[in-house]
Amino acid sequence: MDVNVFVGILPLYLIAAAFALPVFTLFIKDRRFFEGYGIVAAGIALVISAKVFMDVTREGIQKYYFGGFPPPLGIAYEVDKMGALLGLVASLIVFITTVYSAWFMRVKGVEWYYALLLGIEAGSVGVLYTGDFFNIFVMLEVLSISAYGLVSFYRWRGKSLSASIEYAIVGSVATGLYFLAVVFLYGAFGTLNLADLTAKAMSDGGYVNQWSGGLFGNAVVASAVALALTMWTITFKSAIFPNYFWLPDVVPEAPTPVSAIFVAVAEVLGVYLFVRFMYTVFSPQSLLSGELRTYFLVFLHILGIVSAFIGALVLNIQRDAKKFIAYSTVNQMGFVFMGLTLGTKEGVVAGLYHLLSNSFGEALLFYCVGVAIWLKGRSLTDAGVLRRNPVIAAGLVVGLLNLFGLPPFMGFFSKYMLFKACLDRGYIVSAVLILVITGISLIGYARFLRGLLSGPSEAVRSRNLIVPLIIVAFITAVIVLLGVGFEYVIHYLNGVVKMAFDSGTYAMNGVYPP
Amino acid sequence: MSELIIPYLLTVVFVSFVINLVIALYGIFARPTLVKKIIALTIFSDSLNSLAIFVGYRVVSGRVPAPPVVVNYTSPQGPAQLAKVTVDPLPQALVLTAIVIGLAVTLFMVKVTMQVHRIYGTTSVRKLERIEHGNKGEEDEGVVE
Repeated sequence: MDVNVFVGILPLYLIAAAFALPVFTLFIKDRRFFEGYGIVAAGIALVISAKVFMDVTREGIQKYYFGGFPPPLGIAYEVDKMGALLGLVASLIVFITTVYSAWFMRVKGVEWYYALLLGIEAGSVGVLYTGDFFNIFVMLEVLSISAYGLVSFYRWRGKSLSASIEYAIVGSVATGLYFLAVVFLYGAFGTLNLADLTAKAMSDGGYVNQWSGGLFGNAVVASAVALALTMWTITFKSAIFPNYFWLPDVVPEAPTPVSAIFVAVAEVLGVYLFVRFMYTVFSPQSLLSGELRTYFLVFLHILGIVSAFIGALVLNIQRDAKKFIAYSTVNQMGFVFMGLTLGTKEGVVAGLYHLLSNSFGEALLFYCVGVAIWLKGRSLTDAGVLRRNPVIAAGLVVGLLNLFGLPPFMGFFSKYMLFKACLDRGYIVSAVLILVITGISLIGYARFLRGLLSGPSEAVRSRNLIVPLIIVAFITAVIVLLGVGFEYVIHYLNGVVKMAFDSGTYAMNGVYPP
Repeated sequence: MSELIIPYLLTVVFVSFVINLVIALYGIFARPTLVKKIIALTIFSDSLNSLAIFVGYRVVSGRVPAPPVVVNYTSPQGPAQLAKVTVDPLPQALVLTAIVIGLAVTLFMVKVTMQVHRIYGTTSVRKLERIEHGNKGEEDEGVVE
């Protein structure tokens, strides 16, 4: 068994780092120590995830078996290109957010804040790296509990508390339904290993594992029910209609750096799980082929359109900048799901590219708005204060134009690819709707731009802006680079999607002996 | 006789779990009080956990299923023999994990509800909405020392 230790160590290391942090509060009271601890811990995680990313790019799928049990007996971690890429994006955003938080957070009790931040990273990396669908449930809960805690971090603000409890109740129902799906899948397939599940779903009872046996009962019905239940969790995590309502309530009440994590990292997991379950496990060659699968995809395509439409419409009437970004996320995630549900490789490539554009774009907006909040306030016209610092103002302009979709940036190319993929699939109405919805959202983005360009520029407070300036410049550079070099990015994403669609290789790599 | 009764009883148990889930979902989304929502949520997760145990149950003809504990290590056939007469232990392990996670989430929610009650003096979601609609400009974020 050739294993890659870094795959297994990353989630464990992050959980250990998160749990070790409160111990230091016993004898260290200095805020700067905890900021340094968070930055160093997230930085090491970034290095490890970059190492995993390079290994996967060079040598293909990387594995790690906990306790040395051959799969499907123990917990197996299996990272393909999609997991490695999204894991790298997640740990990059978390690292940047940790640095930003050290500048932003000036309240008491930051030690708990950094512990929960590392918990969020552990959960998301665990979901992206694991090859075991019960472990996905555990890691989703690790992520969720940290997220509930971070939303209620300002525990003296009533609004944060009520947003947190609303999110916690709806979130527990969503993860509970995923647990029900796990039980159904286990009852039908007798396994918890994703690769083993893929092999059994592909062969439709022809493949019998020496440990986990073959199929039990009516596996088609069980997997359809399980998939329907999983879709609830996926639409909840990615804020797709009808489960989008929590995002505009929760994101404005969380601390601003955490809002950036919500829109840039937590959203990614829904997309990852969707591609993993719909294209790798229950691929067109699996026992769930045919009409049922098409219904799933068409239904979610319509939900994506509705979601994008609602996001674009409600965007136009927002006054609060953070609520504006939340609805902008709903709009962009609708586009992502329109691409993912086309059922073609081209569509999934477009969806993933748009996801990257959304993650960096929305995170950039939050970093800029955080500066405006420090200097003045959080309404759209308060963004005018950013004119005092041309780099941050330029970053906000780039972020808005990227999300709207203007040529030199990622957003334009991703929307163009999405449009082309819809046309190639024959969904002409969807292709037209992409243009219409983008046109509607123009009003909202233009209002934010007007707030920036013509809002009053007098600051209420003053701060040293060097840290957010560097961060904003860096993410702006990433957006421009990934937009300008889009041919290389698309080429890489083609490889990612090819690997995600290749259920046979995924199954072969996870079952022991191969 | 028992060939008819056992499947009937198992069906009754299954249907009652599903009904329980539906009632719990009603409680979570329709009751206005946070405390009742939390109680409904615990009913929801308990029904899910019982359902998982139910899926792992195996009918062994003629006897009560044995507990899934391997005692006969000496012969290689021991575990294989045992697997024929026991229930499936794996769902129990899953449920154990889910219960522990559920405990953490419930504890967190109870604590937040207490804090909500301390600030607003109520736990009714409708009253909370009315209060929050009243006072808007509460924008002290991040700047509090």
